[in-house]
Amino acid sequence: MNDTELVQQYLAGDLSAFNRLVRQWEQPIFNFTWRMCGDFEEAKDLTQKTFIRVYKNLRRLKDHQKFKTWLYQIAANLCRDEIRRTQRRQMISVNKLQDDYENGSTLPDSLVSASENSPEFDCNHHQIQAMLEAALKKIPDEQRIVVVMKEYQGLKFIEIAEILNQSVNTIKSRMYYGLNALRKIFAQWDIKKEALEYDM
Amino acid sequence: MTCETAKNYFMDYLYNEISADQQQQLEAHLRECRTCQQEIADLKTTSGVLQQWEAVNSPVNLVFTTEQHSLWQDIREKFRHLPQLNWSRRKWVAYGLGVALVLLSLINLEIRWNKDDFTLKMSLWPSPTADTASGNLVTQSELKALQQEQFLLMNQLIEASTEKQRQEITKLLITFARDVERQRESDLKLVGTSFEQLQFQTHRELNRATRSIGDLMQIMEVKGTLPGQNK
Repeated sequence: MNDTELVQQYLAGDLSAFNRLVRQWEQPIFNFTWRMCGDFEEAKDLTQKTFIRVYKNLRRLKDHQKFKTWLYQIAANLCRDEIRRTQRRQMISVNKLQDDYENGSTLPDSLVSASENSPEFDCNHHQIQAMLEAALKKIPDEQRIVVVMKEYQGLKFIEIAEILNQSVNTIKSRMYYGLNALRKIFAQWDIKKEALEYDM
Repeated sequence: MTCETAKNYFMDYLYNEISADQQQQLEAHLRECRTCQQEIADLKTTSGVLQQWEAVNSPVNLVFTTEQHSLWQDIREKFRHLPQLNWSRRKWVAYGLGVALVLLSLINLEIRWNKDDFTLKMSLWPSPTADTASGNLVTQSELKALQQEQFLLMNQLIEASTEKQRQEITKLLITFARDVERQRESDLKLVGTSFEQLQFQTHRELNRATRSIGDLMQIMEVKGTLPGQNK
């Protein structure tokens, strides 16, 4: 049963159809929020909030075929709000800023020592995740969301454009600049795909 | 194809969203342009690095159950099907309600001027008058009579309760005395039976002893060994 049918079944009064929708979309939404905010616990919270918002507002969705787009819109909005809140909360110390300026790098602390020991350092699963998390945080939010949606959620450019309410060309352009920015960051940290795959 | 045009197709090419015709053109350009070739290779590597962050199973496991509607939600649900007022109409309804409230409060406006004392009262409902207020009052004698009545009633209740308690205690004592008497009779019977049995036993033992002595006397008499017979 596809999303549209499940939505219609739920609106006809079948709550189990809604729970099936949740089961179907819980994992993609969790992974999306996780990669967006970079915090496992926060991602759990954002996933819950997304589905609660969906539950409360599903009756207002006019085109039931657009459920996926609408769901991602809710999740993306919640992520944006959370990122903004976190950015406001974080007090970046002057020393840290100076260090970053001098080194030209903000490699996560856990990786700094490993990076110093060998030029192509070995990464375990958590280190790769921490490194990618830090790299994604370094690129602008509007590029990050496109990169996450394309790379990890496997959405088409036209779908991303619809979710973010932008033109397809804008989305492709953000993807291009996002990837280039990440390439530069990886080069700065001396990270190559082969080095990461060695330990996998 | 120029490098600028080629770059426009990079993203479509990288994520397989390019048309066959465009792909052919781009690949032809890539064969000739080493710069573009290098750039697309770098982009592919970057994408490959990003893919190392693996997805996980969601730890959330949400299940939605039927919610308990509040009274307000039920009311809203009942009126959900009624035609909704648009914003301009809502505005007029709000104005109308406001005017009605002001009129109502003006109708019930109370202004008093008594020498130095000036009071102004506005309320939606008329304030209670002295007549209606006195309707709840009772006279002193009526109050006394009521108190007297209540006092008598209380006394009756206490008496009835005491009488009931007395009756219950008497009943309990009678039952107790009967039980004690019954127990005493049973004990006496038991003692009497025991005495009778003891008497009967003693009597039987005495008879047996008398018979034995008689037998012994006869035997001794036959053998002539009685102390008086030898002399």
